Amino acid sequence: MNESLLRFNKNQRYVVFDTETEGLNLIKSRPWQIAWLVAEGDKIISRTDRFIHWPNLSVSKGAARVTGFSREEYEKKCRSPNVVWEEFSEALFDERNIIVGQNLLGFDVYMLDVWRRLKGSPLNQDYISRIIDTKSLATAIAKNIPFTGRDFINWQYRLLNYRERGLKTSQAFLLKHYGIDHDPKRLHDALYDVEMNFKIFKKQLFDLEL
Amino acid sequence: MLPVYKSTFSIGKSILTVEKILELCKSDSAKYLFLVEDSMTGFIKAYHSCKKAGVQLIFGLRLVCCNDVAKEGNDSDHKIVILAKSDKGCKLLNSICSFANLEGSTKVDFNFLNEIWDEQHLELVIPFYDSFIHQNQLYLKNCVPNFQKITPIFWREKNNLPFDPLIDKAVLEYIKNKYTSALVKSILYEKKDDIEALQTYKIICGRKFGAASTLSKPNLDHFGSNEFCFESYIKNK
Repeated sequence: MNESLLRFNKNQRYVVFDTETEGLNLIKSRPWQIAWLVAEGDKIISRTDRFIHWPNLSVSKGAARVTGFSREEYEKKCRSPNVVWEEFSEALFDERNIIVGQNLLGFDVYMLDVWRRLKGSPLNQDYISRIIDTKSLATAIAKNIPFTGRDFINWQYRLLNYRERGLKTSQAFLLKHYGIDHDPKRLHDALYDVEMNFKIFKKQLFDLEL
Repeated sequence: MLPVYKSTFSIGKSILTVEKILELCKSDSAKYLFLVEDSMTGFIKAYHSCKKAGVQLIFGLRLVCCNDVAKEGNDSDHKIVILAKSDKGCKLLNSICSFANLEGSTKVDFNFLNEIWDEQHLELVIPFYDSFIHQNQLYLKNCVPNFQKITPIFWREKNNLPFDPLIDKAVLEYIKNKYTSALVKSILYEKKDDIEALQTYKIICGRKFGAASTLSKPNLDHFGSNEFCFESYIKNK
């Protein structure tokens, strides 16, 4: 038994995050909601859910339908992008934290970059090397492609970029696959998503030697 | 930093016409134009336009290369760029393009390249994106280059994409003490704000049956940087 595996490390800190956005354009869609939880081992120690204020926010019909976007709730709860960023970046750039999420490398890292550019901040991609993308892990498990111990991020990119008709790696599928009790109507609510994602991640750690 | 342009002759890749590129060269006081296209179609136009403008054209052809053109599949497909260093180089480039289109199912391989290679008239460039290094590192590919008679030069880029440092690290490891590299900037549009025009153009060029792509859902994987432009080149050069 390899005791250095993440599944046995009860002190490892995780930040699990998800964004809800105007659309799926990696250059210009703005994230209007971000939720993250901080965990130590299996234990969740904090949960945060923030709405980000942007002028003329335009959530596409498709995105609004999927995310359950409510203009009224958004207007009531939204805060300045700089304020939310300050709060989130404390967790994101804390080197003790492993950053976990579904399709982070294919989507959310770009959304954070859209946010950064709009704030006019310099590029800082230091957190990327600490990412564990549950979509990549799902492909690794489905295709039985083990991590060989070198260039973990590259390995995840290879899996993320792998396309196969019928390969199921969505969060909804993974919840079903692992028999995790959930409410399908609440998926894509950012905070609910991250909690479910953390449950998936913990299951995946028993399917892979990480 | 070397500006490397691509024109609308590379369909779906750039929104810059040859005329616009020459305007940009003029504003940059450039004596040379590095033009890398995905076909030879625009060569004649670029040649005459450059001659008229008094700019030296250095033409490159970007091609798909694989381990063996006789074998089916795309698990070793990657991009290479071949620059013509002379008139004879241009003719050779034309022959390479003909081979790819007539015998190689639009691809070349290193068996063919080593056979016809003439270092005096051609230069092999390994581009930063979609090269064998990029494909092997970030895709499940198994590209095996064979530089038997060829001394390639490796282009490196910085466009703020999250995987740029991963490719760059792999390039530096590969070339260590063996090959040289050059820092370049691929230029596909003029200003950062023009990115939306390129996205629109890409969506139109990539139309297919099924759910249509839109600007809010362009279905362009990893298309997350607006740095492939003249504005960014001028700022960073």
